[in-house]
Amino acid sequence: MTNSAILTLEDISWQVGSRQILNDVTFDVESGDFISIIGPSGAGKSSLFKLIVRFIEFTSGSIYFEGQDIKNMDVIQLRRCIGYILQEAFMFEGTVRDNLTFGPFLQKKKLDEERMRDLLSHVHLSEEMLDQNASKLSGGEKQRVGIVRMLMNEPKILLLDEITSALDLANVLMVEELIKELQGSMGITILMVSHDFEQARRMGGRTIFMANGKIVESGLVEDVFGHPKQDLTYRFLHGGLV
Amino acid sequence: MASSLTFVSLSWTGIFVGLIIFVSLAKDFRIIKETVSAVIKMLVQLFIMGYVLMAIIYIQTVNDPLSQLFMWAIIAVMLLNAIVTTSQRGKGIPHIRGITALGILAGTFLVLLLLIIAGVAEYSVIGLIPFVGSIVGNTLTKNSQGLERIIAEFQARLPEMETILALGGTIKQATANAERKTMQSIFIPMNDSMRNAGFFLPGAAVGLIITGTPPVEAMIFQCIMFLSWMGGTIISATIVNTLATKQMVNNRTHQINYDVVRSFSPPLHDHDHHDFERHRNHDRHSMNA
Repeated sequence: MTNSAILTLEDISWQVGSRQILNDVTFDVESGDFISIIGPSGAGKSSLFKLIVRFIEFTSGSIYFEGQDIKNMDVIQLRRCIGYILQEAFMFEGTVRDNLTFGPFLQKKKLDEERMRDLLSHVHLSEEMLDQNASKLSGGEKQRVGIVRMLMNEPKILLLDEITSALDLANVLMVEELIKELQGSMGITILMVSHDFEQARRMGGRTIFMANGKIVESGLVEDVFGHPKQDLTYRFLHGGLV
Repeated sequence: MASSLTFVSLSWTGIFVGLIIFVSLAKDFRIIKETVSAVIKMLVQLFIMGYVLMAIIYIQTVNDPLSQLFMWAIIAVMLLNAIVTTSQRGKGIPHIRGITALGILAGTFLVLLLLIIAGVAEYSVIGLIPFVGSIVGNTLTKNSQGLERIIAEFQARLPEMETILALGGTIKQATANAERKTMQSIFIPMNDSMRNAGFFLPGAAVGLIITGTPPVEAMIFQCIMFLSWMGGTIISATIVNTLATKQMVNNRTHQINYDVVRSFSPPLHDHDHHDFERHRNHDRHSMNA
Protein backbone atom coordinates (compact mmCIF):
# COMPACT_ATOMS: atom_id res chain seq x y z
CA MET A 1 0.00 0.00 0.00
CA THR A 2 1.46 3.37 -1.06
CA ASN A 3 1.19 6.17 1.51
CA SER A 4 -0.42 8.59 -0.94
CA ALA A 5 -3.11 6.16 -2.12
CA ILE A 6 -6.65 7.35 -1.50
CA LEU A 7 -7.97 3.83 -1.96
CA THR A 8 -6.16 0.53 -1.59
CA LEU A 9 -7.45 -2.97 -2.18
CA GLU A 10 -5.28 -5.75 -0.77
CA ASP A 11 -5.89 -9.40 -1.71
CA ILE A 12 -9.63 -8.95 -1.95
CA SER A 13 -11.47 -12.22 -2.40
CA TRP A 14 -15.19 -12.84 -2.41
CA GLN A 15 -16.76 -16.24 -2.37
CA VAL A 16 -20.46 -17.05 -2.54
CA GLY A 17 -21.13 -20.63 -1.58
CA SER A 18 -18.62 -22.62 -3.60
CA ARG A 19 -18.26 -19.93 -6.26
CA GLN A 20 -15.17 -17.72 -6.17
CA ILE A 21 -16.36 -14.41 -7.60
CA LEU A 22 -13.22 -12.37 -6.86
CA ASN A 23 -9.76 -13.73 -6.24
CA ASP A 24 -6.88 -11.79 -4.64
CA VAL A 25 -7.64 -8.44 -6.24
CA THR A 26 -4.99 -5.88 -5.32
CA PHE A 27 -4.50 -2.33 -6.56
CA ASP A 28 -3.95 1.24 -5.40
CA VAL A 29 -5.81 4.34 -6.47
CA GLU A 30 -4.03 7.69 -6.19
CA SER A 31 -5.96 10.87 -5.55
CA GLY A 32 -7.12 12.39 -8.84
CA ASP A 33 -6.72 9.15 -10.80
CA PHE A 34 -9.04 8.07 -13.57
CA ILE A 35 -9.18 4.28 -13.79
CA SER A 36 -11.40 2.25 -16.07
CA ILE A 37 -12.06 -1.31 -15.00
CA ILE A 38 -12.78 -3.38 -18.07
CA GLY A 39 -13.45 -6.99 -18.77
CA PRO A 40 -16.02 -9.46 -20.04
CA SER A 41 -19.37 -10.08 -18.31
CA GLY A 42 -19.01 -12.00 -15.08
CA ALA A 43 -15.46 -10.77 -14.46
CA GLY A 44 -16.47 -9.37 -11.07
CA LYS A 45 -16.16 -5.69 -11.99
CA SER A 46 -19.48 -4.48 -10.55
CA SER A 47 -19.08 -6.77 -7.54
CA LEU A 48 -15.82 -5.00 -6.79
CA PHE A 49 -17.62 -1.66 -6.55
CA LYS A 50 -20.30 -3.14 -4.30
CA LEU A 51 -17.56 -4.44 -2.00
CA ILE A 52 -15.81 -1.07 -1.86
CA VAL A 53 -18.97 0.69 -0.64
CA ARG A 54 -19.90 -2.31 1.51
CA PHE A 55 -23.16 -3.18 -0.17
CA ILE A 56 -21.76 -6.68 0.28
CA GLU A 57 -18.90 -7.99 2.42
CA PHE A 58 -15.74 -9.52 0.98
CA THR A 59 -14.56 -12.90 2.25
CA SER A 60 -10.92 -11.98 2.83
CA GLY A 61 -8.46 -9.16 2.29
CA SER A 62 -8.57 -5.49 3.21
CA ILE A 63 -9.73 -2.24 1.71
CA TYR A 64 -8.32 1.07 2.93
CA PHE A 65 -9.80 4.48 2.29
CA GLU A 66 -7.38 7.31 3.08
CA GLY A 67 -5.36 4.84 5.10
CA GLN A 68 -8.28 3.65 7.20
CA ASP A 69 -9.64 0.10 7.03
CA ILE A 70 -13.18 0.50 5.70
CA LYS A 71 -14.43 -2.16 8.09
CA ASN A 72 -13.55 0.21 10.93
CA MET A 73 -15.31 3.13 9.32
CA ASP A 74 -18.92 4.17 9.77
CA VAL A 75 -20.51 2.64 6.68
CA ILE A 76 -22.78 5.65 6.07
CA GLN A 77 -19.79 7.97 6.15
CA LEU A 78 -17.89 5.64 3.81
CA ARG A 79 -20.70 5.80 1.25
CA ARG A 80 -20.78 9.59 1.47
CA CYS A 81 -17.04 9.73 0.79
CA ILE A 82 -17.14 7.15 -2.01
CA GLY A 83 -20.05 7.90 -4.31
CA TYR A 84 -21.35 4.82 -6.08
CA ILE A 85 -23.45 5.56 -9.14
CA LEU A 86 -25.38 2.55 -10.39
CA GLN A 87 -25.94 1.50 -13.97
CA GLU A 88 -29.50 2.73 -14.18
CA ALA A 89 -30.02 6.22 -12.82
CA PHE A 90 -33.02 5.71 -10.59
CA MET A 91 -35.02 8.91 -10.24
CA PHE A 92 -37.02 9.53 -7.08
CA GLU A 93 -40.59 10.68 -7.41
CA GLY A 94 -40.84 14.38 -7.93
CA THR A 95 -38.82 17.02 -9.70
CA VAL A 96 -35.17 17.23 -10.64
CA ARG A 97 -34.73 19.57 -7.66
CA ASP A 98 -36.27 16.94 -5.36
CA ASN A 99 -33.72 14.45 -6.64
CA LEU A 100 -30.74 16.75 -6.28
CA THR A 101 -31.68 17.69 -2.74
CA PHE A 102 -32.11 14.07 -1.66
CA GLY A 103 -28.52 13.59 -0.51
CA PRO A 104 -28.51 16.67 1.77
CA PHE A 105 -32.00 15.70 2.95
CA LEU A 106 -30.74 12.26 4.04
CA GLN A 107 -27.99 13.94 6.01
CA LYS A 108 -30.39 16.57 7.37
CA LYS A 109 -28.09 19.21 5.87
CA LYS A 110 -29.07 22.59 4.52
CA LEU A 111 -29.12 22.67 0.74
CA ASP A 112 -26.29 24.55 -0.94
CA GLU A 113 -28.26 26.13 -3.79
CA GLU A 114 -25.20 27.76 -5.33
CA ARG A 115 -23.33 24.46 -5.45
CA MET A 116 -26.35 22.77 -7.00
CA ARG A 117 -26.59 25.37 -9.77
CA ASP A 118 -22.85 25.25 -10.35
CA LEU A 119 -22.89 21.45 -10.69
CA LEU A 120 -25.87 21.63 -13.03
CA SER A 121 -23.94 23.92 -15.33
CA HIS A 122 -20.97 21.52 -15.21
CA VAL A 123 -23.18 18.79 -16.68
CA HIS A 124 -24.79 21.19 -19.16
CA LEU A 125 -28.24 21.09 -17.65
CA SER A 126 -30.19 24.34 -17.41
CA GLU A 127 -31.73 25.64 -14.21
CA GLU A 128 -35.15 25.44 -15.84
CA MET A 129 -34.87 21.67 -15.54
CA LEU A 130 -35.00 21.90 -11.78
CA ASP A 131 -38.79 22.02 -11.77
CA GLN A 132 -39.20 19.31 -14.38
CA ASN A 133 -40.62 15.91 -13.47
CA ALA A 134 -37.56 13.69 -13.13
CA SER A 135 -39.34 10.63 -14.53
CA LYS A 136 -39.85 12.40 -17.85
CA LEU A 137 -36.13 12.95 -18.47
CA SER A 138 -34.26 11.12 -21.19
CA GLY A 139 -31.71 8.44 -20.31
CA GLY A 140 -28.79 10.81 -20.80
CA GLU A 141 -30.42 13.53 -18.72
CA LYS A 142 -31.16 11.08 -15.93
CA GLN A 143 -27.55 9.99 -15.82
CA ARG A 144 -26.41 13.59 -15.62
CA VAL A 145 -28.86 14.34 -12.84
CA GLY A 146 -27.64 11.18 -11.12
CA ILE A 147 -24.05 12.42 -11.29
CA VAL A 148 -24.96 15.85 -9.90
CA ARG A 149 -27.06 14.20 -7.20
CA MET A 150 -24.06 12.20 -6.06
CA LEU A 151 -21.70 15.18 -6.32
CA MET A 152 -23.98 17.11 -3.93
CA ASN A 153 -22.56 14.80 -1.25
CA GLU A 154 -19.03 16.02 -2.09
CA PRO A 155 -17.55 12.53 -2.40
CA LYS A 156 -13.81 12.10 -2.77
CA ILE A 157 -14.14 9.16 -5.13
CA LEU A 158 -16.78 8.39 -7.73
CA LEU A 159 -17.49 4.79 -8.72
CA LEU A 160 -19.33 4.74 -12.04
CA ASP A 161 -20.83 1.32 -12.70
CA GLU A 162 -21.48 1.00 -16.46
CA ILE A 163 -23.45 4.25 -16.36
CA THR A 164 -23.48 4.58 -20.15
CA SER A 165 -24.42 1.00 -21.02
CA ALA A 166 -28.12 1.85 -21.49
CA LEU A 167 -27.49 4.98 -23.57
CA ASP A 168 -27.26 5.54 -27.29
CA LEU A 169 -23.88 6.45 -28.76
CA ALA A 170 -24.50 10.21 -28.83
CA ASN A 171 -25.38 10.23 -25.14
CA VAL A 172 -22.50 7.89 -24.32
CA LEU A 173 -20.03 10.30 -25.87
CA MET A 174 -21.65 13.27 -24.16
CA VAL A 175 -21.51 11.64 -20.73
CA GLU A 176 -17.91 10.62 -21.32
CA GLU A 177 -16.99 14.23 -22.12
CA LEU A 178 -18.77 15.39 -18.99
CA ILE A 179 -16.88 12.91 -16.85
CA LYS A 180 -13.58 14.08 -18.33
CA GLU A 181 -14.51 17.71 -17.71
CA LEU A 182 -15.57 17.00 -14.14
CA GLN A 183 -12.39 15.10 -13.49
CA GLY A 184 -10.31 17.89 -14.96
CA SER A 185 -12.09 20.75 -13.19
CA MET A 186 -12.80 19.14 -9.83
CA GLY A 187 -9.84 16.77 -9.65
CA ILE A 188 -12.11 14.08 -8.35
CA THR A 189 -10.87 10.49 -8.33
CA ILE A 190 -12.96 8.34 -10.65
CA LEU A 191 -13.18 4.59 -11.17
CA MET A 192 -15.39 3.50 -14.04
CA VAL A 193 -16.56 0.00 -14.86
CA SER A 194 -17.13 -0.72 -18.52
CA HIS A 195 -17.42 -3.79 -20.68
CA ASP A 196 -16.50 -1.59 -23.66
CA PHE A 197 -12.74 -1.31 -24.07
CA GLU A 198 -13.18 1.41 -26.71
CA GLN A 199 -14.73 3.54 -24.01
CA ALA A 200 -11.70 2.95 -21.82
CA ARG A 201 -9.49 3.97 -24.75
CA ARG A 202 -11.44 7.20 -25.21
CA MET A 203 -11.35 8.02 -21.48
CA GLY A 204 -7.62 7.49 -21.13
CA GLY A 205 -5.89 7.31 -17.75
CA ARG A 206 -5.19 3.92 -16.23
CA THR A 207 -7.00 0.72 -16.93
CA ILE A 208 -7.43 -2.55 -15.08
CA PHE A 209 -8.44 -5.58 -17.12
CA MET A 210 -10.28 -8.24 -15.14
CA ALA A 211 -11.43 -11.71 -16.08
CA ASN A 212 -12.75 -14.61 -13.99
CA GLY A 213 -12.57 -12.53 -10.81
CA LYS A 214 -8.89 -11.69 -11.15
CA ILE A 215 -6.84 -8.75 -12.36
CA VAL A 216 -5.18 -9.95 -15.54
CA GLU A 217 -3.33 -6.80 -16.47
CA SER A 218 -3.22 -3.14 -15.50
CA GLY A 219 -1.45 0.01 -16.47
CA LEU A 220 -1.82 3.09 -18.61
CA VAL A 221 -4.47 2.69 -21.30
CA GLU A 222 -2.00 3.20 -24.14
CA ASP A 223 0.35 0.56 -22.70
CA VAL A 224 -2.28 -2.08 -21.99
CA PHE A 225 -4.11 -1.54 -25.26
CA GLY A 226 -1.05 -0.96 -27.37
CA HIS A 227 1.11 -3.75 -25.95
CA PRO A 228 -0.99 -6.25 -24.00
CA LYS A 229 1.26 -8.63 -22.12
CA GLN A 230 -1.33 -11.30 -21.41
CA ASP A 231 -3.06 -13.52 -23.93
CA LEU A 232 -6.46 -12.98 -22.24
CA THR A 233 -6.06 -9.22 -22.61
CA TYR A 234 -5.19 -9.61 -26.25
CA ARG A 235 -8.21 -11.81 -26.86
CA PHE A 236 -10.53 -9.35 -25.09
CA LEU A 237 -9.22 -6.42 -27.10
CA HIS A 238 -9.70 -8.34 -30.32
CA GLY A 239 -13.24 -9.47 -29.58
CA GLY A 240 -12.40 -13.04 -28.64
CA LEU A 241 -13.65 -12.76 -25.06
CA VAL A 242 -17.18 -11.65 -24.19
CA MET B 1 -91.28 -14.46 6.25
CA ALA B 2 -89.05 -16.01 8.93
CA SER B 3 -85.64 -17.02 7.59
CA SER B 4 -84.93 -20.69 7.20
CA LEU B 5 -81.37 -21.92 7.82
CA THR B 6 -81.44 -25.43 6.47
CA PHE B 7 -79.50 -27.55 4.02
CA VAL B 8 -82.34 -27.10 1.59
CA SER B 9 -82.09 -23.33 1.71
CA LEU B 10 -78.31 -23.60 1.40
CA SER B 11 -78.66 -25.76 -1.70
CA TRP B 12 -80.56 -22.94 -3.41
CA THR B 13 -77.45 -20.77 -3.22
CA GLY B 14 -75.64 -23.49 -5.14
CA ILE B 15 -77.17 -21.70 -8.13
CA PHE B 16 -74.39 -19.12 -7.76
CA VAL B 17 -71.74 -21.80 -8.14
CA GLY B 18 -73.52 -22.89 -11.30
CA LEU B 19 -73.49 -19.29 -12.44
CA ILE B 20 -69.74 -19.03 -11.95
CA ILE B 21 -69.23 -22.23 -13.94
CA PHE B 22 -71.48 -20.95 -16.73
CA VAL B 23 -69.89 -17.50 -16.95
CA SER B 24 -66.36 -18.89 -16.69
CA LEU B 25 -66.98 -21.30 -19.54
CA ALA B 26 -68.74 -18.72 -21.66
CA LYS B 27 -66.06 -16.08 -21.19
CA ASP B 28 -63.08 -18.37 -20.73
CA PHE B 29 -62.25 -16.85 -17.33
CA ARG B 30 -60.70 -20.14 -16.12
CA ILE B 31 -61.82 -19.71 -12.54
CA ILE B 32 -63.89 -22.89 -12.21
CA LYS B 33 -61.31 -25.20 -10.69
CA GLU B 34 -60.09 -22.68 -8.11
CA THR B 35 -63.63 -21.56 -7.19
CA VAL B 36 -65.22 -24.99 -6.99
CA SER B 37 -62.39 -26.37 -4.88
CA ALA B 38 -62.66 -23.32 -2.59
CA VAL B 39 -66.43 -23.81 -2.25
CA ILE B 40 -66.05 -27.51 -1.47
CA LYS B 41 -63.33 -26.80 1.10
CA MET B 42 -65.49 -24.08 2.66
CA LEU B 43 -68.53 -26.34 2.94
CA VAL B 44 -66.61 -29.28 4.37
CA GLN B 45 -64.60 -27.21 6.83
CA LEU B 46 -67.46 -25.04 8.05
CA PHE B 47 -69.77 -27.99 8.59
CA ILE B 48 -67.09 -29.96 10.37
CA MET B 49 -66.57 -26.94 12.59
CA GLY B 50 -70.30 -26.59 13.13
CA TYR B 51 -70.73 -30.21 14.22
CA VAL B 52 -67.58 -30.11 16.33
CA LEU B 53 -68.87 -27.00 18.14
CA MET B 54 -72.22 -28.70 18.72
CA ALA B 55 -70.41 -31.70 20.17
CA ILE B 56 -68.27 -29.55 22.45
CA ILE B 57 -71.30 -27.60 23.65
CA TYR B 58 -72.92 -30.90 24.54
CA ILE B 59 -69.74 -32.14 26.26
CA GLN B 60 -69.69 -28.90 28.24
CA THR B 61 -72.97 -29.90 29.87
CA VAL B 62 -71.51 -33.19 31.12
CA ASN B 63 -67.78 -32.51 31.51
CA ASP B 64 -66.71 -28.87 31.46
CA PRO B 65 -62.92 -29.45 31.77
CA LEU B 66 -63.00 -31.85 28.80
CA SER B 67 -64.95 -29.36 26.73
CA GLN B 68 -62.32 -26.70 27.54
CA LEU B 69 -59.61 -29.06 26.37
CA PHE B 70 -61.43 -29.51 23.07
CA MET B 71 -61.99 -25.76 22.86
CA TRP B 72 -58.27 -25.05 23.14
CA ALA B 73 -57.50 -27.85 20.70
CA ILE B 74 -59.75 -26.19 18.13
CA ILE B 75 -58.18 -22.81 18.81
CA ALA B 76 -54.74 -24.38 18.40
CA VAL B 77 -55.76 -25.90 15.04
CA MET B 78 -57.08 -22.51 13.86
CA LEU B 79 -53.89 -20.75 14.89
CA LEU B 80 -51.64 -23.43 13.40
CA ASN B 81 -53.51 -23.31 10.11
CA ALA B 82 -53.24 -19.52 10.03
CA ILE B 83 -49.52 -19.61 10.80
CA VAL B 84 -48.71 -22.26 8.20
CA THR B 85 -50.89 -20.68 5.50
CA THR B 86 -49.59 -17.16 6.11
CA SER B 87 -45.96 -18.16 6.29
CA GLN B 88 -46.20 -19.79 2.85
CA ARG B 89 -46.64 -16.29 1.43
CA GLY B 90 -43.33 -15.34 2.96
CA LYS B 91 -41.43 -18.31 1.56
CA GLY B 92 -37.77 -17.44 1.35
CA ILE B 93 -37.72 -15.14 4.37
CA PRO B 94 -35.67 -16.79 7.12
CA HIS B 95 -37.57 -17.77 10.29
CA ILE B 96 -40.88 -16.83 8.66
CA ARG B 97 -42.89 -19.44 10.58
CA GLY B 98 -41.67 -18.05 13.89
CA ILE B 99 -42.33 -14.50 12.75
CA THR B 100 -45.90 -15.21 11.62
CA ALA B 101 -46.53 -17.26 14.75
CA LEU B 102 -45.48 -14.36 16.95
CA GLY B 103 -47.53 -11.85 14.98
CA ILE B 104 -50.70 -13.92 14.75
CA LEU B 105 -50.57 -15.05 18.37
CA ALA B 106 -49.97 -11.52 19.63
CA GLY B 107 -52.64 -10.04 17.36
CA THR B 108 -55.22 -12.64 18.33
CA PHE B 109 -54.71 -12.91 22.06
CA LEU B 110 -54.19 -9.25 22.84
CA VAL B 111 -57.45 -8.40 21.09
CA LEU B 112 -59.21 -11.32 22.73
CA LEU B 113 -58.00 -10.21 26.14
CA LEU B 114 -59.47 -6.77 25.57
CA LEU B 115 -62.77 -8.25 24.41
CA ILE B 116 -62.95 -10.39 27.55
CA ILE B 117 -62.12 -7.40 29.78
CA ALA B 118 -64.76 -5.34 27.95
CA GLY B 119 -67.32 -8.05 28.58
CA VAL B 120 -67.89 -8.67 24.88
CA ALA B 121 -66.42 -12.17 24.90
CA GLU B 122 -66.70 -14.62 27.75
CA TYR B 123 -64.44 -17.50 28.64
CA SER B 124 -66.50 -20.37 27.28
CA VAL B 125 -66.75 -22.51 24.16
CA ILE B 126 -69.41 -20.30 22.59
CA GLY B 127 -67.74 -17.19 23.94
CA LEU B 128 -64.20 -17.75 22.66
CA ILE B 129 -64.15 -19.92 19.55
CA PRO B 130 -66.24 -17.64 17.28
CA PHE B 131 -64.20 -14.58 18.25
CA VAL B 132 -60.88 -16.37 17.89
CA GLY B 133 -61.99 -17.82 14.57
CA SER B 134 -62.99 -14.43 13.25
CA ILE B 135 -59.89 -12.57 14.44
CA VAL B 136 -57.53 -15.33 13.27
CA GLY B 137 -59.24 -15.44 9.88
CA ASN B 138 -58.74 -11.74 9.47
CA THR B 139 -55.08 -11.76 10.56
CA LEU B 140 -54.44 -14.66 8.19
CA THR B 141 -55.78 -12.72 5.23
CA LYS B 142 -54.10 -9.46 6.11
CA ASN B 143 -50.71 -10.92 6.92
CA SER B 144 -50.72 -13.13 3.82
CA GLN B 145 -51.37 -9.97 1.84
CA GLY B 146 -48.70 -8.14 3.78
CA LEU B 147 -46.00 -10.74 3.20
CA GLU B 148 -46.75 -10.98 -0.52
CA ARG B 149 -46.58 -7.24 -0.70
CA ILE B 150 -43.37 -6.70 1.26
CA ILE B 151 -41.60 -9.23 -0.96
CA ALA B 152 -42.96 -7.55 -4.10
CA GLU B 153 -41.95 -4.13 -2.76
CA PHE B 154 -38.39 -5.28 -2.08
CA GLN B 155 -38.12 -6.74 -5.55
CA ALA B 156 -39.56 -3.69 -7.27
CA ARG B 157 -37.77 -1.10 -5.13
CA LEU B 158 -34.29 -2.61 -5.18
CA PRO B 159 -32.93 0.17 -7.45
CA GLU B 160 -34.51 2.80 -5.19
CA MET B 161 -33.09 1.20 -2.05
CA GLU B 162 -29.63 0.85 -3.55
CA THR B 163 -29.68 4.49 -4.68
CA ILE B 164 -30.65 5.67 -1.19
CA LEU B 165 -27.90 3.55 0.38
CA ALA B 166 -25.38 4.80 -2.19
CA LEU B 167 -26.30 8.39 -1.30
CA GLY B 168 -25.42 7.65 2.32
CA GLY B 169 -28.90 6.85 3.59
CA THR B 170 -29.54 4.37 6.34
CA ILE B 171 -31.17 1.02 5.69
CA LYS B 172 -34.22 2.33 7.54
CA GLN B 173 -34.50 5.23 5.10
CA ALA B 174 -33.97 2.86 2.19
CA THR B 175 -36.76 0.49 3.22
CA ALA B 176 -39.22 3.09 4.55
CA ASN B 177 -41.28 3.27 1.35
CA ALA B 178 -41.51 -0.51 1.05
CA GLU B 179 -42.78 -0.88 4.62
CA ARG B 180 -45.15 2.05 4.29
CA LYS B 181 -46.71 0.78 1.06
CA THR B 182 -47.09 -2.68 2.55
CA MET B 183 -49.00 -1.43 5.58
CA GLN B 184 -51.11 0.86 3.42
CA SER B 185 -52.02 -2.04 1.14
CA ILE B 186 -53.24 -3.98 4.17
CA PHE B 187 -55.33 -1.18 5.60
CA ILE B 188 -56.86 0.33 2.47
CA PRO B 189 -59.40 -2.48 1.87
CA MET B 190 -60.29 -2.55 5.57
CA ASN B 191 -60.76 1.20 5.67
CA ASP B 192 -62.89 1.04 2.52
CA SER B 193 -65.13 -1.55 4.17
CA MET B 194 -65.54 0.50 7.32
CA ARG B 195 -66.06 3.69 5.36
CA ASN B 196 -68.94 2.13 3.46
CA ALA B 197 -70.44 0.03 6.22
CA GLY B 198 -74.02 1.04 6.70
CA PHE B 199 -74.42 1.44 2.95
CA PHE B 200 -73.97 -2.32 2.93
CA LEU B 201 -74.61 -4.70 5.82
CA PRO B 202 -71.56 -6.72 6.88
CA GLY B 203 -71.93 -10.44 7.51
CA ALA B 204 -71.75 -10.45 11.30
CA ALA B 205 -74.60 -7.93 11.59
CA VAL B 206 -76.66 -9.78 8.99
CA GLY B 207 -76.28 -13.05 10.88
CA LEU B 208 -77.37 -11.50 14.14
CA ILE B 209 -80.33 -9.61 12.70
CA ILE B 210 -81.85 -12.59 10.91
CA THR B 211 -81.55 -14.68 14.09
CA GLY B 212 -83.52 -12.10 16.04
CA THR B 213 -80.96 -9.74 17.60
CA PRO B 214 -82.23 -6.13 17.68
CA PRO B 215 -80.59 -4.24 14.78
CA VAL B 216 -78.85 -1.61 16.90
CA GLU B 217 -77.25 -4.31 19.07
CA ALA B 218 -76.23 -6.13 15.90
CA MET B 219 -74.57 -2.93 14.63
CA ILE B 220 -72.75 -2.46 17.95
CA PHE B 221 -71.46 -5.99 17.60
CA GLN B 222 -70.40 -5.36 13.99
CA CYS B 223 -68.50 -2.22 15.01
CA ILE B 224 -66.77 -4.17 17.76
CA MET B 225 -65.76 -6.78 15.20
CA PHE B 226 -64.44 -4.21 12.71
CA LEU B 227 -62.36 -2.55 15.39
CA SER B 228 -61.16 -5.89 16.72
CA TRP B 229 -60.02 -6.91 13.24
CA MET B 230 -58.29 -3.56 12.94
CA GLY B 231 -56.58 -4.11 16.30
CA GLY B 232 -55.57 -7.65 15.41
CA THR B 233 -54.25 -6.46 12.07
CA ILE B 234 -52.17 -3.56 13.36
CA ILE B 235 -50.59 -5.69 16.07
CA SER B 236 -49.88 -8.73 13.92
CA ALA B 237 -48.92 -6.86 10.74
CA THR B 238 -46.55 -4.53 12.57
CA ILE B 239 -44.78 -7.51 14.14
CA VAL B 240 -44.71 -9.56 10.94
CA ASN B 241 -43.63 -6.73 8.65
CA THR B 242 -40.99 -5.40 11.01
CA LEU B 243 -39.45 -8.80 11.70
CA ALA B 244 -39.73 -9.94 8.06
CA THR B 245 -38.00 -6.76 6.90
CA LYS B 246 -35.25 -7.32 9.48
CA GLN B 247 -34.50 -10.64 7.80
CA MET B 248 -34.10 -8.93 4.45
CA VAL B 249 -31.62 -6.33 5.62
CA ASN B 250 -28.70 -5.90 7.98
CA ASN B 251 -29.48 -2.98 10.27
CA ARG B 252 -25.99 -2.75 11.71
CA THR B 253 -24.14 -2.50 8.40
CA HIS B 254 -26.99 -0.86 6.45
CA GLN B 255 -26.99 -3.56 3.82
CA ILE B 256 -29.65 -5.38 1.87
CA ASN B 257 -29.54 -9.12 2.43
CA TYR B 258 -29.16 -10.00 -1.24
CA ASP B 259 -29.11 -13.74 -0.53
CA VAL B 260 -32.68 -13.48 0.73
CA VAL B 261 -34.05 -10.82 -1.62
CA ARG B 262 -32.71 -12.47 -4.78
CA SER B 263 -34.05 -15.88 -3.70
CA PHE B 264 -37.68 -14.78 -4.09
CA SER B 265 -39.51 -15.96 -7.21
CA PRO B 266 -39.74 -13.32 -9.91
CA PRO B 267 -42.70 -11.01 -9.36
CA LEU B 268 -45.86 -11.92 -11.26
CA HIS B 269 -46.63 -9.76 -14.27
CA ASP B 270 -49.96 -11.48 -14.94
CA HIS B 271 -52.42 -8.71 -14.06
CA ASP B 272 -55.37 -11.09 -14.34
CA HIS B 273 -53.89 -13.34 -11.69
CA HIS B 274 -53.24 -10.36 -9.43
CA ASP B 275 -56.83 -9.15 -9.83
CA PHE B 276 -58.22 -12.54 -8.95
CA GLU B 277 -55.99 -12.75 -5.87
CA ARG B 278 -57.13 -9.31 -4.77
CA HIS B 279 -60.80 -10.22 -5.21
CA ARG B 280 -60.33 -13.52 -3.44
CA ASN B 281 -58.83 -11.79 -0.44
CA HIS B 282 -61.63 -9.20 -0.47
CA ASP B 283 -64.22 -11.99 -0.55
CA ARG B 284 -62.56 -13.68 2.40
CA HIS B 285 -62.82 -10.42 4.32
CA SER B 286 -66.53 -10.04 3.44
CA MET B 287 -67.19 -13.59 4.60
CA ASN B 288 -65.44 -12.84 7.87
CA ALA B 289 -67.72 -9.85 8.25
